[in-house]
Amino acid sequence: MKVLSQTKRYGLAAVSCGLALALAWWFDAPAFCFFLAVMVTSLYGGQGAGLFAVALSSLAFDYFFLPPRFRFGLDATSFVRFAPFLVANLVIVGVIEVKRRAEEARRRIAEQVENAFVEIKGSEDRLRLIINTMPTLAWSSNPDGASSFINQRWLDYTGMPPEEALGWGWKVVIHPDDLAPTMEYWQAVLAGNEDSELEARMRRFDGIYRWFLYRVSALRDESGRIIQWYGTCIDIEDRKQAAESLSQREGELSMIIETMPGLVWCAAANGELTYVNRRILEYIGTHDKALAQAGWLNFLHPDDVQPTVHAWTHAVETGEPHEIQYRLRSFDGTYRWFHVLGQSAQDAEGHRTRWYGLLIDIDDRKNMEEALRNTQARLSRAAQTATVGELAASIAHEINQPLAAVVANGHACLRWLAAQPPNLAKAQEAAERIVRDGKDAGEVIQRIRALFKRTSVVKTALDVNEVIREVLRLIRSEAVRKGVAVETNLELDLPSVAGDRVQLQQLLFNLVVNGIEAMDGVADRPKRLIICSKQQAGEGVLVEVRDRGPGLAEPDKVFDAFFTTKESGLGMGLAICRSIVEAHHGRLWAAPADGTGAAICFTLPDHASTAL
Amino acid sequence: MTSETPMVFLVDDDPRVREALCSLLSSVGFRVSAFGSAAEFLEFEKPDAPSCLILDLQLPDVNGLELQRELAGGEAPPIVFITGHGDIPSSVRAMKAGAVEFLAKPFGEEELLQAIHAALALDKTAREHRSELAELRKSHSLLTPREREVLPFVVAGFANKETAAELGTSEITIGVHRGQIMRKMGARSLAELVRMADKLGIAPAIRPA
Repeated sequence: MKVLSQTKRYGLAAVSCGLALALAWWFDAPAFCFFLAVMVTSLYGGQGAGLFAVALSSLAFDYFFLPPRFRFGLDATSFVRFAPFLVANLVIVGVIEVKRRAEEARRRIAEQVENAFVEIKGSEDRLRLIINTMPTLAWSSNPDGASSFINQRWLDYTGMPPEEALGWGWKVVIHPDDLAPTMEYWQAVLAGNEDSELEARMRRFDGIYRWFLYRVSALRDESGRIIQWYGTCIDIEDRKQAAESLSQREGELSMIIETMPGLVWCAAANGELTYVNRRILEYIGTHDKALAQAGWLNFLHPDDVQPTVHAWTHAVETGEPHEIQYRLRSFDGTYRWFHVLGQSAQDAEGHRTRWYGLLIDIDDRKNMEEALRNTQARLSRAAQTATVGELAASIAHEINQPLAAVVANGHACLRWLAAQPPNLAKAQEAAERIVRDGKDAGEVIQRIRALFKRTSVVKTALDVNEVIREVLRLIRSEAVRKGVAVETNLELDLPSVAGDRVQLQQLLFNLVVNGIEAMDGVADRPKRLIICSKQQAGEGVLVEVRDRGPGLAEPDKVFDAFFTTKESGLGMGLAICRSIVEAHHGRLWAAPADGTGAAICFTLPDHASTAL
Repeated sequence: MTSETPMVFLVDDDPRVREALCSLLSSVGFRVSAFGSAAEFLEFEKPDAPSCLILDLQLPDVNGLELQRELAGGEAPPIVFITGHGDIPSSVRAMKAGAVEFLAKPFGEEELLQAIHAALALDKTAREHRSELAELRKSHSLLTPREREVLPFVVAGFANKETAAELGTSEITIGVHRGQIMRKMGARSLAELVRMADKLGIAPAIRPA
């Protein structure tokens, strides 16, 4: 319905009234002509124009058709005709206005509906666009499972036209091997198990199958009834392949670890053993569960358990690499030595995640070392015995001296007692001297026995000066015999060192004898042997044995085994000295003495530092 | 210091041995002087008495054998060596050089006392010998130069006449010298004079061919 401007509407009223007047002129029923004009005006010009047309019609009807004709004014009869005319006109306008308004309202609603429809159409297109272009295969199904919608991606992937795919047509692109599981899955979903997933292969347009992950969810109405199923298929082929190659690599790695001829283990960050490879199980002759039940410590040599637990606990606490040697019991009950290495793995944040470790069989090497050590010890003993043998005379002197005194005192004692009158005071003095010198002789014998004694190394806190004095007591006579003046310059209040008394005695014994012998050929100057001890910053205690002999032509070689400048002798003395010093974590070196002669020096770490 | 109580000198660097031997020897009745080194011993003024020296072979300053060598020829007492470890070469050298005994420690009382007695006896003889010789020397020193010239001829058994011929003097003069010599030397016979001359180391004159 057209909407006319104000002027046009009123113009319309005037024109229709004019036309009605003209028609009325010719027809017998002028009132109807006017009714028509009012009706048309009201219809097309609205209420205002209608009322205007009513006024014009009323005026024209009164003027032209009611007596008195051609005059405005009404008599009684004409009023009877005029009044119904006016009322009828007003009714027409009113009715038409009501109708028009209703029409107007309906039109507006229709317009709104139209707009809404357009809008909905647009958004549906967008949604369709999204569904069709999103990089996922998507579909929906009716509550019975038959496919009701399949997106473009799906169609593009499979190359199927939608009409074939809808309903149950999609089944043909599922890999034959996966069809049964797929249908089972779908049945399970329909039965209410919506949360499950399915992996199945789906044929591409070119005939190649790729793996997809199926997921489904249901749309329900307010009463919980399923209206529609919505689902996606996600291409997981690449992921699947990566996972497969990973698992293959894992399998290979695991195979390598299982079969390689090495003993490999793995533990959790807290130190709990989580894995040992087959070689370990074969070696200890058990299986995983038995090992887990018994605990790996049960397969260690009892003596090694304590240090191993200590070291492992330390490694697990600090994350420092684990390294220890222990004996592991084999399936036949024998123990072999293993060198154990462990390394922690860390994640990106630096947290320890696991421990990886190796067991290296070092039993043969260890046995060889042991044999070597025994040989060395025997050699050392032999050389030591030889040295002591060379000094037998000197040692005999040390024993005979107090013995001579004891014997003489004994005789004297008897004589003082036998005298008339007996001289008891003198006899007692003599007897006391017997006791004293007898003790002396005993001590000498103890010292000599210590020199020969084969004992394991026992480190205790020792006063180096005390050891020096002990050795000098044994050698004094030899020095006197050789005309060597032994001087000492010992620093008081030396820190004690951690050492084996017998070994340190042997060390000093060797060095002093060596120094004395080095001066055998000296005739043009006094033979002097000077022993100094002092505290050395950072190195514990320094001892220097300095002689006035010919000096050392090859200071670097003197500590080699079998190197000797003497005509008699094995050349083992200084080599043994070196091994003793090294066993005490010290240093031994030869320094040309100032002027003539040579000096052999060694350091021993102090007891406090080695105890740490 | 003149006493006939025998004197024992002891040189040993070990005080224990010194103490013990001092005690033992004093219990036996000897006078004992002990020294820790050769030098101390040499410095010591020895009394004029029969004595012996117990000497340790090893000494801090001069070793025992060297001390023995040093003392040899003098009027040193006989030496008894003691040693803590006797080696054969040392003992041979010691004995050759006139040691009385070579004792290895530890030694018994008997061995030591026997050695000391032997040494003292030796010293006694030596001392007597020395004093006799001293007497002879004293007598000899009384002779005039001419009488000393004559003495070798007398002890060689030359007749006065032969001696006179040799020395170019008269027989009577030789006779007077001879008488003087016998008197001054205190010889009661020619034989005694010959022994005296021998002790004094005066060689008899050699008869010309």
